[in-house]
Amino acid sequence: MADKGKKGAEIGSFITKYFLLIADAILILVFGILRPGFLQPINLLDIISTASLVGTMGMGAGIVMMVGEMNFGVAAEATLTASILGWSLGKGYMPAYVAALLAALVLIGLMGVLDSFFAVILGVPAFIATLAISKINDGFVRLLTENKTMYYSSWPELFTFIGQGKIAGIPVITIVFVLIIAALWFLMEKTRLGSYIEAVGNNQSCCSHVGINVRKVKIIAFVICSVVCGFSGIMASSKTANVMNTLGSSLMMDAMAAAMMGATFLRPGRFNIPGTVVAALLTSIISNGIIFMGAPDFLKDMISGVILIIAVGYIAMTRKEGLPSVKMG
Amino acid sequence: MMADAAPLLSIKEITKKFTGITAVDHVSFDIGNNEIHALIGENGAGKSTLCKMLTGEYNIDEGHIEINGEEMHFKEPADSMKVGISMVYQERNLVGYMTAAQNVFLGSEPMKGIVVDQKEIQKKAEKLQEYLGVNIPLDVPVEKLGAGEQQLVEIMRANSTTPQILILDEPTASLGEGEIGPFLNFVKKMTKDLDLSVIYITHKLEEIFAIADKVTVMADGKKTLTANISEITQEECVKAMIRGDKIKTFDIPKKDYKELEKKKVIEVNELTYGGKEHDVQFYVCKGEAVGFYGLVGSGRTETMEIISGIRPADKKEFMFDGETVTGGDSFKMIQKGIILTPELRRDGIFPSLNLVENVCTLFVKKFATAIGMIKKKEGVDFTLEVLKKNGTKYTSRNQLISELSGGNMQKIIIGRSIEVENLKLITMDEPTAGMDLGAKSEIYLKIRNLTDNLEKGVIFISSELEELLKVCDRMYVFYEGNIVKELKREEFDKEVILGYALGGAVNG
Repeated sequence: MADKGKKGAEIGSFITKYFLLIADAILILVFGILRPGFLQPINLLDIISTASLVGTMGMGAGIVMMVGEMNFGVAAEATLTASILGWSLGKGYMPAYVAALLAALVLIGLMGVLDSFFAVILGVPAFIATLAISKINDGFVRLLTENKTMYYSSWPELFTFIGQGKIAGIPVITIVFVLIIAALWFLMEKTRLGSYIEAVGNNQSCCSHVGINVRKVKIIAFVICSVVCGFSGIMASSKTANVMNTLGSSLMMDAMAAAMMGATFLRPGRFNIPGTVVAALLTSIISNGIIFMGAPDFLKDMISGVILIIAVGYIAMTRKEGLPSVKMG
Repeated sequence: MMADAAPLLSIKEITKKFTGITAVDHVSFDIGNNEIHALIGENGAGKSTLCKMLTGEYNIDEGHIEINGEEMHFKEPADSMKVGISMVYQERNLVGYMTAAQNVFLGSEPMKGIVVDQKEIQKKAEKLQEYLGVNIPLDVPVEKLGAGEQQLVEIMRANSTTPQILILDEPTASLGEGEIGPFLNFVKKMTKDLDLSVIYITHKLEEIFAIADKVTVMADGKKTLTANISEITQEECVKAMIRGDKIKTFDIPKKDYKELEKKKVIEVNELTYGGKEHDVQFYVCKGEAVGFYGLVGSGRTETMEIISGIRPADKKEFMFDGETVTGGDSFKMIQKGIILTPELRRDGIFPSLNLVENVCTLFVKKFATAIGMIKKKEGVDFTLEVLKKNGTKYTSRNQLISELSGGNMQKIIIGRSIEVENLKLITMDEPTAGMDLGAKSEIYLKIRNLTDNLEKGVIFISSELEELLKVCDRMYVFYEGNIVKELKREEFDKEVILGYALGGAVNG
């Protein structure tokens, strides 16, 4: 009897841990059976390409969530980064693509410093501070794009390399995505900074008692978040070969959702990199599959929403403390 | 000659002022080698502030400290750690998902290049465990450990820097009754084995007499006494703790239980909650204070929250004031005359509302017109009366309740609760938690006034057996969700009660 109960609990916790991955597999199978074309390598690679945008932004946003804060400005930061890059190259202010790219990322990293100045140093609740700053950024985006979709024929070919290029048949965007995953996974799992980022989100007062500089860790988290999310903007603009005002906002909700859903994966209740990736894949599989089925587009939002609410609802039920920064106070 | 005689730690006239108040006022005493030095006093007496000055968490405003005769100035805890002072704080400071080993070395992880060396962490933790003579699982998340084991993890961390002086701030506050004894033995043994000196902060006198060599008593920021434990009695300690005559005394009239039983307010047999049937046979009569004693989690709070309609139950049925009650939320129960003041004070207040709003929310109907408009004037008058009746200290009725001290908040919570029309039974769940002796005695007086003069039934839930023994007419002991023993006042016996609370009927 006791054995049975224990086994049941083990299976239960296994399902929770791998719910997202199981959902990924089942959906691929279902779509594959219904529409065999879905399983073509080219379509699967397309799914990963789409997931790489949501996933990259989700990992960035997730790092701020890990320290127990929230950055609602990730969409504006992504669009702004792409706009800065496109504008500086288009107007010819920057001679080389790589220089322009680095400059844009440095600027957006400073935006992370600004976010954390208000959220961490002054103590404005982070989601309010970042929301306010994102409005300013929206304004700058409109200024740079002259309030229309940005496109310059003077852009170098490299502009679309990340988004559209291929190396040995594999889309560059996928390779870049894997590299970002690997780097952030290494940071979070292996380094001291990574373990402090998670520890700060879990128990701030404990960290200050053992001599960890909580503010510094949070500021670094905001900067990493802005740079990673900014880079996701560059990936997106490179993929479409233009900069739309809605570039970031079209990704943000899915990205935030991926980070939160990801916290049900592997280590329930804790934001983590692999979880975010698996969750981003899930969103991508759903939207791709729905399109493939020829089903109406709104179904995609409904299904994603249902999966998200089930996932976070489950965490709320099983873990008293919930997700660190879902309690946005 | 001076250098040889210099004590390990010498505190010289140190003072700490916060805006307006002097938290620590020219306190001096010495800590010798390998001694357990207890530091006692009521809440707010300045014990923790004093120790935070010793670790460098607070700056010392006046005076200084000497270690082995050498004057020390700490800017931050890292400085004091270097000369061998380590502190275990009252609140648990652990990262829940990390293992014990990871927690011990949090902030000082051994590295292999840029990678944290998890193997080395485990190895070092094992060594430390051996050194301290403790045995706890090192490789499971600390959130899965019990309170006692978590405490040990923190003590391991404090010892990881091999300190000379270890400060323990109310280490037994989070421990259950059964864990305290072994913990005290551990502290004693560790002190001897490692040749440590320990500053042991507490407000529990029994613990001091069980382990300390010396004791220093603080009251209102001042030192009132330092003595060898063998040369002092408990009474002298208490006297030194309270300074002046803040404690109010009261008499408990003898009860005629036969007569009383005719006036039962409530009678309960069993409740089903959490999928289990719980045997909670009890009754409360008019004009009677009944104590509920048991360990944390023994079902005292759960039982009364169900009765009061706050917590959902699978099945409940009880007699109240002559009628059978089977359901009803807290709103209905308050109308019937049952109210509960919550264990956590923050569950009983609206922190960002003012005093009037906090008092009147319970009486929305009384202070509203037929169409629901609030009658402000009446509410204010009523509030002022409640505040006055209960001796609440406040500066303005418009101030936020969260600006008051815990004791004054409690006075408002209890004060407004007993104003409920046709109140018959009030449950106070840990009403004196975190209060000093003076404030506690006012609560006791309030309870006796409710029973002896106003003929109300009172259920007094507490984890401090002493206060229940002092105040109650009868007592029920809870164990694992059930009531295992009923005692009348003349049968009160500490040993018996503890026996039941710790293990059902072992000593019965």
